[in-house]
Amino acid sequence: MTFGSIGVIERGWSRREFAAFLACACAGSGCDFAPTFRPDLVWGVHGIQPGRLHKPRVAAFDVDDNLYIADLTDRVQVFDRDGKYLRGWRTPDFNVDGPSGLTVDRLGRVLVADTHFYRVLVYSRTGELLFQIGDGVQDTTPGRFGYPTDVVLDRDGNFYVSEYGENDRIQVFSPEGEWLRQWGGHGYASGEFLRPRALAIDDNDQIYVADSCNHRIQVFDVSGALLRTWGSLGSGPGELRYPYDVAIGPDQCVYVCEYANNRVQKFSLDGKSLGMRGRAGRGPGEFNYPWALAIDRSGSVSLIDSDNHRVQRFRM
Amino acid sequence: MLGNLSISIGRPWWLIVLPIVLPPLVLFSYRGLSGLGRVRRWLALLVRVSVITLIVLALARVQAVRKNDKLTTLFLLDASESVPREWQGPSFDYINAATRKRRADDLAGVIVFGKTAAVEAPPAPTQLDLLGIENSIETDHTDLAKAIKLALATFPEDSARRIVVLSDGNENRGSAVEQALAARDLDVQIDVVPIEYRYDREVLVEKVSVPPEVKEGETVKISVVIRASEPTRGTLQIFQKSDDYRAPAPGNEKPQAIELQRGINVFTLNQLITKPNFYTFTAEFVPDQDSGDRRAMNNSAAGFTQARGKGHVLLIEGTKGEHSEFVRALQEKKIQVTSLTAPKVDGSGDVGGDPMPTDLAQLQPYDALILGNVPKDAFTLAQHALFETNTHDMGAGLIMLGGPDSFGAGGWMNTPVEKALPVDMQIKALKVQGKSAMAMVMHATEIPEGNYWQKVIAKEAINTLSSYDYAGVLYWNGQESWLFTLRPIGSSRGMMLRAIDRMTPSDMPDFDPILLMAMRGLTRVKDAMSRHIVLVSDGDPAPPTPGVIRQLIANKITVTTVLTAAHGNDSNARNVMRNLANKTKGRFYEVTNPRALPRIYQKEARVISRPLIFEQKAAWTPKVNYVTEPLTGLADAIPPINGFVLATLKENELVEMPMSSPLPAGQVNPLLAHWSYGLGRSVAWTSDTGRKWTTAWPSWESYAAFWSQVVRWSMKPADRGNLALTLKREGGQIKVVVDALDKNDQFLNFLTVQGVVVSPKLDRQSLELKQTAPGRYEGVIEGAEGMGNYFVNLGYRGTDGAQGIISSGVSVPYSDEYRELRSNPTSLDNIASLTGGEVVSWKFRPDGRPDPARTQTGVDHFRRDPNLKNPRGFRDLWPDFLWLAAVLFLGDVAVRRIAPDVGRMRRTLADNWKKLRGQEVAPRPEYMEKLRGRKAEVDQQLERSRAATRYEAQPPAFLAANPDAPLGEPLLDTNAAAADRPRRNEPAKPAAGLAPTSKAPAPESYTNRLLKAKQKVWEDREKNKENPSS
Repeated sequence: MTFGSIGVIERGWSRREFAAFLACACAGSGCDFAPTFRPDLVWGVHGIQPGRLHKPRVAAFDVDDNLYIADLTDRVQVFDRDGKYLRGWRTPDFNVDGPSGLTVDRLGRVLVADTHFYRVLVYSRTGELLFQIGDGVQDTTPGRFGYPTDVVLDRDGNFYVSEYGENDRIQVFSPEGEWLRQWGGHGYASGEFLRPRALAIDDNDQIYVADSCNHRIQVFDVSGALLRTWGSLGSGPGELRYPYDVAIGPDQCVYVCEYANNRVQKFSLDGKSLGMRGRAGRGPGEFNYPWALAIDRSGSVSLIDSDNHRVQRFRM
Repeated sequence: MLGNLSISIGRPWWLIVLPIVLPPLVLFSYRGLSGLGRVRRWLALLVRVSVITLIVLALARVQAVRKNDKLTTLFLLDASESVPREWQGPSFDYINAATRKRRADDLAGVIVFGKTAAVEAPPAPTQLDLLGIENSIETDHTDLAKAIKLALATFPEDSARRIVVLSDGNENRGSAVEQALAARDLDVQIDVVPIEYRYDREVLVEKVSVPPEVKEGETVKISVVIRASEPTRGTLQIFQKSDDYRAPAPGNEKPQAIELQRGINVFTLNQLITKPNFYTFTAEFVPDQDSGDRRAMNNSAAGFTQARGKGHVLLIEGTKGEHSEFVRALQEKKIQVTSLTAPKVDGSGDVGGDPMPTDLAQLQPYDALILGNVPKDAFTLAQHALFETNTHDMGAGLIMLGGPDSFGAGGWMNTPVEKALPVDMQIKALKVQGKSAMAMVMHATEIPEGNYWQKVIAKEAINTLSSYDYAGVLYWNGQESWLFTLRPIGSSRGMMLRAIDRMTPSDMPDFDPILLMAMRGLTRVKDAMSRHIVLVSDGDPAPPTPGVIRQLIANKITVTTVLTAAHGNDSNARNVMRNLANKTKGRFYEVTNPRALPRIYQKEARVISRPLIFEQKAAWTPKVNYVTEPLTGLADAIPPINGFVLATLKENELVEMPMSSPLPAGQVNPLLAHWSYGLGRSVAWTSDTGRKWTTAWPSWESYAAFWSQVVRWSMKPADRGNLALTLKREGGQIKVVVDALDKNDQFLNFLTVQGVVVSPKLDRQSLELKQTAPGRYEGVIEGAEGMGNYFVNLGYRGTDGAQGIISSGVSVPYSDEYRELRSNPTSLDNIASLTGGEVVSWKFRPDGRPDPARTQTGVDHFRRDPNLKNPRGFRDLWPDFLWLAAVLFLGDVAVRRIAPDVGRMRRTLADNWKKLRGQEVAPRPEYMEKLRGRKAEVDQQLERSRAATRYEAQPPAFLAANPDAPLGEPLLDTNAAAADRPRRNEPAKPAAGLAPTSKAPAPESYTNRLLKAKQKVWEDREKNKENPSS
């Protein structure tokens, strides 16, 4: 009598069978194949004093490579590229959740999506409040916001503001803050959103939307026509799990921060996956529910490692 | 030694092996390797010697030792109340400036401490720039020892270590010297920077002295003790507090101007006590403008006394007036009843109702506490513990009256109150019907201490559900997951509570996936009568889509939503949560006070849990099992009941069950049960007191007698004897003294006096007094440091059987930190000298303020001095040695087996060099010839070996002469045998080759020789057979 297993041994395993066995064994044991990498710099100390970070959730570089970070304590803090604290200010009202969108536009203004006060604040680089979009009343009517999450500026200076809540949509405002148009809606269908968390705009005025709970990136033109979409729920290359931030680097690639995959994935502008960095953890090169990323002039990614209360810089 | 690197040998005696083994090895190997040539021979020898040496070194446990030059300095900053606030800024400036002197690799960190210690900045190679304290630590005591201990645990392994203490040296907890000795043993130096101050003109209200018990109508003498550093003036006023009402004491309506002398001053006030109650007297001193008294915290103190009446009970009922017949009955029998209505729980906390007692002092006036049909969630966890302590340690009675919201139906299972009652709330015997399944979705991460509250509420719900119900918890940690899937609580309760302790939910982005997961889990529980989801969230995730809500409705799953208003007035979040609850017929709570959360979960669990009520339309008569004290002298005809709450009698010999219900049959159904619990007594009555289930009872002739007897049985016993209990608090201790006299003022000796002390946090400490003199008994309570009231309750028993309870209390008005009038630099100097550290004295500016920059001059907390021990890191080298030995062993084989042709290599190199330079390389014809010759040789060898393996035996000698004769078995008759044997093949002709065939006969192979020998043996045997005689 020959046992099955002995038969296998006698016959010998083909390479393919062996590889399949190894993959199954690793999958069964929860083996993590995500490679570790060494970031160029890790900085940030947890705290609420000036210069410290308490769950930072959004960041952007200005033209001088100064990094503007907003955290859970309703502060905007400015650091140099290496994490030296320069200055900071508070948003006008305070609750336990801070702004979740921040952009430094090409005019040098700091655009803050003041999520839980239903408005967009426009600051100078030194923190002087210039004006605001939205009257701070939560509503689904045009010109008012549910929870605004991000704001970008097109070549004509129009503002595009993403929001979620009862009406997940993108609203467009003139440079003077006048309502122009909107598109989207709460749902799973193409062109609809479930918690659009972040926006990025490329040189051709194409708008990239991190449609986070639909686990995809949708690309629109300025009129709201859907150009392309990519991504589905998963953790393989080209797949996404809660993309929370999207940015376009000087190399004309799209960088996506995946909140629940604890990684950054790089895509070409047409959505081809070009590589991934990071895995869950607390060590260097490991992330703990990252919310955002910012790309400096040299193309280095500064990742906002939110639950580790720090920033990690690396190249991809 | 290479810089910081050196070598250590763990087992040096192994090195003896080297001189023993190596010389013979060299000797024998030198001879044995003679065929290798000079260079290879020496090389092989060298490799062999190296292999042996490496193995011996591995056995000798050679280690690499690296000495580390790094230094870590941890600054310990005293943030306790005794250190004046104005010192905090200069202290931080001092630390920030000190870290500028560190070397690049040095680490600096900060620990702040008071009663607790916390790492403010972990050791890091950075310059510190701290502005203030971020940690919240308890500052009402100073425990320098704890801070040193934390520092020792915080230091990294691989650096030299120094601690710098910035403190006033006034420690009132732990022993810093002990920890300093521990630090010294670990080579940790402690530098000290004593913070110095002196309150020259401080006034302290030391205590308010009141007799612990007074009689109704008696005048009590209140003595206020005030200590002054200098003669000064101010005003003193005494306030009286009873029933949560505070007002100036009668006769002391206006503050009185007083003049204080240096030292102790005593002021007295006489107060007439007209009503039995618990009274607290607070004395407040207000200094005059120019008095120089700087600290207000130590300007007031309190003392309390109790005036006991004849019998006073507290009734807390769920609905106002629900027990009016019961109250009337007690009053008829001269028992005073105070009724309070419990509040209902809501997201903001309590709604309606009366203020509930929150500390033991408020329960002191009452001889018994009666909980009348009131659910567990009407009270906080602290209040549950308070009720139990009140009975166990203070000797007051506890009575729970039945109703739809009491016992198990009121969610009282797994509470301290259940522990105090003679019945358990879980039903063990009943055939279970109507199980519930409850899935809890946790997303309250964003409220302050969100993860803590999530654990509390999940545990509360699980403790409130019956053990037959199903419970499961879901949370989001990158994706929706079950912390544990739905399962009957039963024996899994412990596992569930442990899993909850480990739960760390993250911020969930959307509701849909987790609701679907909960729904799938709930629909799989087939025997559940109700399926329920309780979702706690800030309402911030992407709202559930209509499709998911429809599925929940279709599956009859109710969703209760608990909105933790993390984002202020957020109408969208509120709409999302309310909408979900309304559509699925759940309840919606908006929580503004996280403390309301546990009770919401208790309520939710109670509402969905299987009802533990038994009722019938037709009334039945309870069964009297036997008569105990509460039932004596009652009319025989006990009225019928038609409902009660099911409970299980505790299995304890102290438990009495004089009355039970015959229905439901087949199990024991306690109706009236009582027992003694700790110093007190408790009673469980599982039906109500004259409303829904006992309508016939109020008209029963013995109704009032029955209830007054039950209540009186449970009440706190009146004090007996002539015992005086005195409490004195000094230095974190309470000294307890009992003077015992009998009625004739004779000493009572050989009493057993023991009891408990209950701290302001309701911690208990047992206490046994020892007799120290005739009629005098003494004991000490340690660790009485927290602010608040300490109650001491003692039971005594004499040799003649006389027994009783005496009680008293002492109030700690403020932390000991406020008693310190000057710093204590000597204790710090002591620590520095013990550990070889330095003492740094503050320098001051001309205006008297401390000057951190000047203080720093000449001070370096990152200095390298002889007392500083640099740590050494050890690394075992044996794995490296063994690996190298293995590689060299292969090298040894290679040296012996591979003979490099040096001449040819040299020629090839020369040819290549020529080619590189463009010169023609001379052909080497002899090379091809050599190759051919070698090939032919190899062919021949191959052929020979092939022939040999065919077992072609050489013909024996007698056949050799006749080569045409057939080959065969030469041992048989050759002619006959040869005929039927196949002919062997002709030997193959040599293949055509490049080399000329050799004419010389091939030498006999080993096999051939062997076969020949074999044939010879057989031949001899044949011969013997033929000629046996020979």
